[in-house]
Amino acid sequence: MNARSILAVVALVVPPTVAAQTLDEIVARHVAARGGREALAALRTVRMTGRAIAGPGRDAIVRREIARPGRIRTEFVFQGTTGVYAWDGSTGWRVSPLDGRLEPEPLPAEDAAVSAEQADIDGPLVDWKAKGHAVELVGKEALPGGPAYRLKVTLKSGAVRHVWVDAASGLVVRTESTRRLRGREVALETVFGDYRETGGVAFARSIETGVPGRPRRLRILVETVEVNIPLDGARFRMPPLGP
Amino acid sequence: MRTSILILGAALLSGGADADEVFLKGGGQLSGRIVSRSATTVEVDVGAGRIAVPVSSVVRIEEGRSALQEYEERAGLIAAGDVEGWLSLGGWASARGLGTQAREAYHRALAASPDDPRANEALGNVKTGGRWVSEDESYRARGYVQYEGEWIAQAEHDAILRERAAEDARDRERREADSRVREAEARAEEAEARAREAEAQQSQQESEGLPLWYGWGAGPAYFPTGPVVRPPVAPNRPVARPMPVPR
Repeated sequence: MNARSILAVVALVVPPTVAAQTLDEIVARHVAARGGREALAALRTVRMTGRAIAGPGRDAIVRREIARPGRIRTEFVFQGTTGVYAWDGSTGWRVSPLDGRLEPEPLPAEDAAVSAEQADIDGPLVDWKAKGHAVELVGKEALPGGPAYRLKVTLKSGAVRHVWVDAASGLVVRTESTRRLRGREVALETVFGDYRETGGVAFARSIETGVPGRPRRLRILVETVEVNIPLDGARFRMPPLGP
Repeated sequence: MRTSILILGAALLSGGADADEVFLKGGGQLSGRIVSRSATTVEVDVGAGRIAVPVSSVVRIEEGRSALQEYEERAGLIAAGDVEGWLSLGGWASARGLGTQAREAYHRALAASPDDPRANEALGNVKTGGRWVSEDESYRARGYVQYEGEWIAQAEHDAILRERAAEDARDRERREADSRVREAEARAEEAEARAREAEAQQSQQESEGLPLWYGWGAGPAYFPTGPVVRPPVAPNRPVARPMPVPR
């Protein structure tokens, strides 16, 4: 076997290894772009406040609080009503006056699963192996903002998310998944932008969700980010039912 | 005219009941004006309609000046032709989640200056061929069709109809293939009719919105399109029919 043949054999064997290394590099770059492992580890709580805009007259105030380990509470203020949607690490619940739900009640299973997913303060790519997720590099694609690596993330729950990491910045610029809306499976995409640092960690200040091919978009504009503020654990727990 | 507006404002100020904050268990809240109270229920006008709250759901009530009342006070001081004033008030209301009031203010600005681009854009209007058209008209002009409250491409619309027709055909074939279960089938049809009715209600409620939770955590099932206020839902029961209020 001459050198050329050896190289050919190596080339056949190596691609998965190279892909894995490339994936590791992409994730490492992403962690660095967020602010680095130390800055992320120092993050104990986050509160983000902003506006959700779905169109004229559909403009709400949203507040999201996340606390380690894996707890989240979102408040949604619209037309004189404040709704609360929370996950305490094991149970999801809501009070949703807008939907006519005035008493705390458990979240539907799918919403609870999404809450649990969103409660990951670092995002799914950071320490993905330890979290039990699977991540594979699908390829490099051209997005309107520039080339991005497309990663397929299979969460520990089995749910699949596609994540695009900007090749230049290392930040997540787009995600996509399939959801069931009104009885039909539809793709939903979310575009992240306007990253700015707070407490040494980069947070997206612009989040835009939509169904590909449909004109309407839901935009969330994050106006303030606070980190490591005290958040009482009771804020995340479902209040007892009854009088 | 200025006088009549001031009178209207004064009437709003003096005629309105207290502005209140009604706190619910778990942090839910209603902000507006309590219009009636009984031993069992508190009814709150939130500016887009009224919500009846069982007293058992209320943690406490704080009387005070709500954003809705402040809106009314501010609106009472703006002259009909004051475009800048109405635009500013629209932005103020919008920033406080008062969508109905924001729309009202922008409509007042538009009434004073029909071609004002800021008022038109704030209302979602789009300039097409030199004239302002509504958001819906602009979608229609771009070839989208409205289906179950969502604007979608014609191709997607056709695909949905094909998919549903195929599902119906499969259901029909299944039913026809088993004549022995006609009685059960009748029951199923009845249940299906009920389900369809529930689905229609659900579709009406959920129309024109994207789930907030996808991009940013849990939230309302769907973002409302406007002034829709619902009666309370008993735990573990289907969502009640929406109670639309006039725009």
